[in-house]
Amino acid sequence: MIPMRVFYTKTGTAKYISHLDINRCFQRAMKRAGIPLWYTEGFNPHAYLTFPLPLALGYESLCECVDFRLVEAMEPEEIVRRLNQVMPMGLSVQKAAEPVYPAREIAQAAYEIRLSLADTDGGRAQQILEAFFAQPEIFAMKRTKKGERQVSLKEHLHGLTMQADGGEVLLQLQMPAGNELNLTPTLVLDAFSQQTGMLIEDFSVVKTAVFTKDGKIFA
Amino acid sequence: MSSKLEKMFQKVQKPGRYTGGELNSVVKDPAKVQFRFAFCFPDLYEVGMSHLGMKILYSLYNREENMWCERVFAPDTDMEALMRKEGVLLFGLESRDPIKDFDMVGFTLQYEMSYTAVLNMLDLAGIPLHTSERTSLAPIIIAGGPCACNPEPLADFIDLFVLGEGEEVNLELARLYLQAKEEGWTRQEYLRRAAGIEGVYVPSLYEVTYRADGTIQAVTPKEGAPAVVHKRIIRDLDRVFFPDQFVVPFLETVHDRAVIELFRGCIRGCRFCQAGFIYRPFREKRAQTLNQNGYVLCASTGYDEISLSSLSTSDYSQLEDLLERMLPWTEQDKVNLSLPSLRIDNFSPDLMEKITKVRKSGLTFAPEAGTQRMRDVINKNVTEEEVLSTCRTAFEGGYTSVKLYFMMGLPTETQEDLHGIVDLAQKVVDLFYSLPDKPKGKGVNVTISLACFVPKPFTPFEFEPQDTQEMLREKQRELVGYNRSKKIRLNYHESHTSFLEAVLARGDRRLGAVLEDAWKNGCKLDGWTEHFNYQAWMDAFEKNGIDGAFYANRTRSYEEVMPWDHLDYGVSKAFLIQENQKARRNTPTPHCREYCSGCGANRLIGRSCF
Repeated sequence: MIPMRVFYTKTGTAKYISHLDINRCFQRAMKRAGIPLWYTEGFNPHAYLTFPLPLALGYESLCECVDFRLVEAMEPEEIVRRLNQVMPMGLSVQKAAEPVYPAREIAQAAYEIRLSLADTDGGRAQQILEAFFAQPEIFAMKRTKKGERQVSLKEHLHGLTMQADGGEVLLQLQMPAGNELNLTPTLVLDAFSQQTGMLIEDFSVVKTAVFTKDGKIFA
Repeated sequence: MSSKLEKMFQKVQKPGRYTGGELNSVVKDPAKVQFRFAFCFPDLYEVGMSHLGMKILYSLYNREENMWCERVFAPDTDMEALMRKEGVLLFGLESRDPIKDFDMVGFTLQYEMSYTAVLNMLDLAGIPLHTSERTSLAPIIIAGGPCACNPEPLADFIDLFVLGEGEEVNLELARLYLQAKEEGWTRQEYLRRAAGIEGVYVPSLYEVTYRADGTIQAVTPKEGAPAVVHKRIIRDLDRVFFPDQFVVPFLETVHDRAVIELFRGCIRGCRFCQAGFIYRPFREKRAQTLNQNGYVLCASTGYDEISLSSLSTSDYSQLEDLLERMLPWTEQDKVNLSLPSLRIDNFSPDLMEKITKVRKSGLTFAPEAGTQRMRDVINKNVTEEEVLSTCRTAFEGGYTSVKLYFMMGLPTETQEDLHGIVDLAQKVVDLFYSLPDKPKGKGVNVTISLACFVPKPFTPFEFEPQDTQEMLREKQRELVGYNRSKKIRLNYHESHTSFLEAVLARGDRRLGAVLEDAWKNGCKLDGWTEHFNYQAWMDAFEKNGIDGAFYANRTRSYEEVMPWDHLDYGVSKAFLIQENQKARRNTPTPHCREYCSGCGANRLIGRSCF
């Protein structure tokens, strides 16, 4: 069995494919592509696919990945070529390779957020956002399986940049992702909206990079 | 940033229902096509995407270079509310263009309870509700599917109905439309000429008059429309167009799998079953063709399940041959074979072994009635011994759970027939415990699924009354009380829905107003319990002074002019009457392979069926 990791982008309409549906979608794509996948044994054999870092519904991503195992060798370039011939619109495979890091090494993700505030131009919106992020402390309510709990955001947000662009503001930031602590742009934006009373008219999120605990690009 | 639609997608449940972009969906350049068709399924995406007919016609149109067919489904209530608030008109999933700008809008009528969804979708599309309010040529509103065999309740809203199988006639309608567009015909001229195509019924070209007692006096054709419209069929099914790819949804749908169609029609002639009559004559595809269809579909979709579809799978004469051809590649590619609609009387251990090779699911059989007398009345030629021997085969093969379908409220039904349902289930339970080879350490589960009988047009029971709802509910209570076993679970259907189905199935044009008022009262997804509102329907009946019992609970004489008598589905009314009389004598009719009873459907292929 050969472990394999495929990196792909998920953009456009494909951002509305939920995590559960992406799994099924890849199962079928692998079948169409004739990838020699390893199947689980037993009562209900199925291809064993795992997604190291699930993406929220509605987000785009340039750095999604899926892990699986091969029962016979296939050149990574061949895997990429075959998959791209059969992928639905908005999903595009960039790279295939044996995994370098285990999934548990994932610690950070970088995002690009575009947003507009109701009845507010980009410049003014940027000022409001800057004031919000300049606070000494920012708290947010994070929903977990065990109920709601308060997390302190401020110390977890890194590499924040901001730039007004017409009616919108382009934000870039990096925050914890993975098993230990997973924060999302939606959590930050919800906290912003609640605490400033500003209505976010529209926003879009692109995940641009995933990093390991050591700050290396996840591969 | 994001369009109005994108913002809506971000707010609704399951946006994948509305986004399009699925694998194998067809996007064309609008500037390069001359004919745009909206295939509308009047129910949610998950239901509509499971429908084989849509997949066939979608590919059929899109194979034509100058035509573009898109899919449209009923939006769920959250999406509908946003669409109405934002003024977004119902759109095709592929282009996201409003369907009111299309050339033709087609609805498939799979069940009566979807009629209000048809009205709601027309309204959401911004298309005038009534045929009479539409003035320009486009869009022409058409409908087909099994319920088109009595389309009268929808006559006010649909411009033309396609009767029978659509593979040929739909393209003929499209080509006639292209001619109309080029030559600048009026809508009326198009409809008048369309009525000349075999299988096309234009209701506005027929005048219906009524007698004082409310029954129909006559249906009179106008403007040269044919007095009787004959349904269309494909003579050589083996050579009919079949898609080599399906649109593969991202969301999980009701039936999310590849499908091949073994045959059309049915040799059985169960007297309650509309499908068993309106799809006649019986025509099969060759095993070789089907194997090829299935292989190609699995390769293009990546599906891990393929369903062998028909009205009665084990009646397919080449089933062994087909399974032998399919097993090597389905096993190798880990594709699960699904055989729905198995009959009780020819379910062999060999067959069971084949279907369980890949994956084991529950087994479902349909004895339909509890006593031999009742089964003879409905012509379900199955004996108790056969039911038990089938269950024995299943249990010995390791199954511990069996689902049995029954109907209640059948013509001539007695208390003994009713009790027979639970008695039969009990015998199945007893059988399980009597077997030395029963699966070890497991109990048995027998589920009785109990439907209310709904008399349908073009069946020998089209003359019969449906039990009143009080009677049906009383029978349900009676049976629940009669069942003493914890191993038997009894599920039954809501009688409200069955009553409305009975009204609409045999309804006439006067129900159009009721339908419209029910829709105005908020009915739009009647197939869903959480949206179904019986009182809204009752209010609509009352407002229009119409008694549903006239349609549902009344016995018709053989001489009565039925609302669908000017439509011909191959099977003659004389045959239906003969079968009705035999039912009253508890006499079964042999199946078509055994003996031809002369139903008349073979006129459509111009030879004997076998």
